[in-house]
Amino acid sequence: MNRSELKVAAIALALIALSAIYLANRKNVLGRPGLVIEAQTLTNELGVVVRKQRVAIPTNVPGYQNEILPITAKEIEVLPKDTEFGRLRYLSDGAPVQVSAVVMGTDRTSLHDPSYCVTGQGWHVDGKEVTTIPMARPHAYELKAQLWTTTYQQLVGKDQFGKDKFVPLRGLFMFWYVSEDQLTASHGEQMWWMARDLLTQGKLKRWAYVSMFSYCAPGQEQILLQKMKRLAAEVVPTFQIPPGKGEKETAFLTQSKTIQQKETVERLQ
Amino acid sequence: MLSEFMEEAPRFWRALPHKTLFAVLFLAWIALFQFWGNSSFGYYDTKSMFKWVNIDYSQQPDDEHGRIVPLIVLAILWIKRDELLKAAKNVWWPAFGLLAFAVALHTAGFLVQQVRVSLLAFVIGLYAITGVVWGRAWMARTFFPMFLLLFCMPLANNSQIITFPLRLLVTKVSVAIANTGLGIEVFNSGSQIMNGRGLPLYDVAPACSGMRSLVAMGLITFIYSFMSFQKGWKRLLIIISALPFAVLGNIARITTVIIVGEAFGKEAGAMIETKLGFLTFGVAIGCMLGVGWLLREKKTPEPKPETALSMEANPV
Repeated sequence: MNRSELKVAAIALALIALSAIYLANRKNVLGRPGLVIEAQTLTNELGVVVRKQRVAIPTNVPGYQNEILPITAKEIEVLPKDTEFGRLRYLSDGAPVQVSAVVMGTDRTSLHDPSYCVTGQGWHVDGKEVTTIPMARPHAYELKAQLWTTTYQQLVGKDQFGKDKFVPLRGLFMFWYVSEDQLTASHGEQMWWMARDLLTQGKLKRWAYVSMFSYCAPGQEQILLQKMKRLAAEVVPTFQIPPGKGEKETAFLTQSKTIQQKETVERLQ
Repeated sequence: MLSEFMEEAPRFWRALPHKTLFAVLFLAWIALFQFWGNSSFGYYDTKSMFKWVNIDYSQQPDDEHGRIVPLIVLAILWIKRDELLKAAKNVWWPAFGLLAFAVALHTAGFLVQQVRVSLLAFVIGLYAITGVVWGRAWMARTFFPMFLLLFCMPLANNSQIITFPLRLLVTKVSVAIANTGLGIEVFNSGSQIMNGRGLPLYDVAPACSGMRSLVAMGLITFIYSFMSFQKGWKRLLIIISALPFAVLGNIARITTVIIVGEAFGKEAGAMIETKLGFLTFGVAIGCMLGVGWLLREKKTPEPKPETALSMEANPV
């Protein structure tokens, strides 16, 4: 290479090298999760402990029995190792309602496309819209969530011609995204805010994805939706930190513990 | 063709200036994306952008065309080799601005854990490096083939926002044609096609959304427009018609599925759905060629070679 070429090479290589050095040494500041995480073991479907803490989805909701659900071995294998989980099934009249939460750590791929889970379990997505959940605690606001209407063809036996007989089940899948100080129903908005905050503040916010799922017979979707929204208004404020509040600053969380203690005392009496 | 390549390639290589400079910058650019190319490890656990993209091509059938796009680009560059040799001059300093932009874009993409942003930066930076080394005229003549490299972008995982409405559109229109035009009693629930008794017949699955055909049609229309037309508005019209062509092709296939299912049974219809993907492309490419014929440009006649007779008529 001649002198001119050497000069060009030096400048271009310097640009590339600077980028490499910066990327090799850059460390992001990790934000706080927007959900309350408590010390409690979680197991997979084989009963093996997979996590020593979980998202504090409440286990004492009046009118509901509940069951802590396992996190599957496949999820543990596929998702980043610092992903946190929470999953409960609430049982009352009608079909159970599953409430799940996934909190990312240092890797945004903890929050995956929900369609993988929904379609992977045999549900067919028929429609997508945004719905609002009226929340009364800790203050009155409307929580926006994605609402997917799904269908599952359940095999119930054979018909008069000996062919498989199916009946349709309608599923409602609701989800939204929450960080320490942001709420959104839009995956695109969540990704944009995360990128913007990383570039402008150097902070990787620990976004979480909260979802609810239940099913019903065709024609019962509106009744089911109202049931799910009532349950969300009841349980979500206990584990979702309102935007702008730290865990210890959330007055409602302190109040809810007091209510729980009072109920425990009354039951013992 | 192979023997022509074996003869021409050494000649082209000897005539190309600043080879060493290009090789040094190219290898450094590759190294950046090999060792600091990806910063999110949940889907594919690798720091290399190339490995990430390659794994994605293996996992996502809708993205696997990305493997052949670089070969298409190299082929087009080879076809234009004489023109490029004439254009290859000296260093063009303004191209450094584009290279700096590409470096900044990759840095941002790495920080926000978006490997697709880094892939975009890689293509832009590669284009910028050729401009730094061989000049502005080279960049002007290689814009089209280098732009094709953007079709390497893996989009399948993020395509729901486009493919879901397309699936619904294809389903609704196909059902409407069958119902209203042909009197076949079917209706749709989302992208599921049901018979008159509400039993599911077919599901217009994501693979039928046209994403694969949309990307393939985009690539084909892009190449066709640049190779066949000179006027910018005609090229643009052909390119943007890729979407409606792909949708039309899928509507034709799903409508055929419904008709065959009505005539010969559900299993026959399902067989058509899985085996006749080429019908989609046949209709789409046919439409593209039809529009191309309507927009055809008159080719300027090539100058006749001088013959001994014509030279005698005009002695110098």
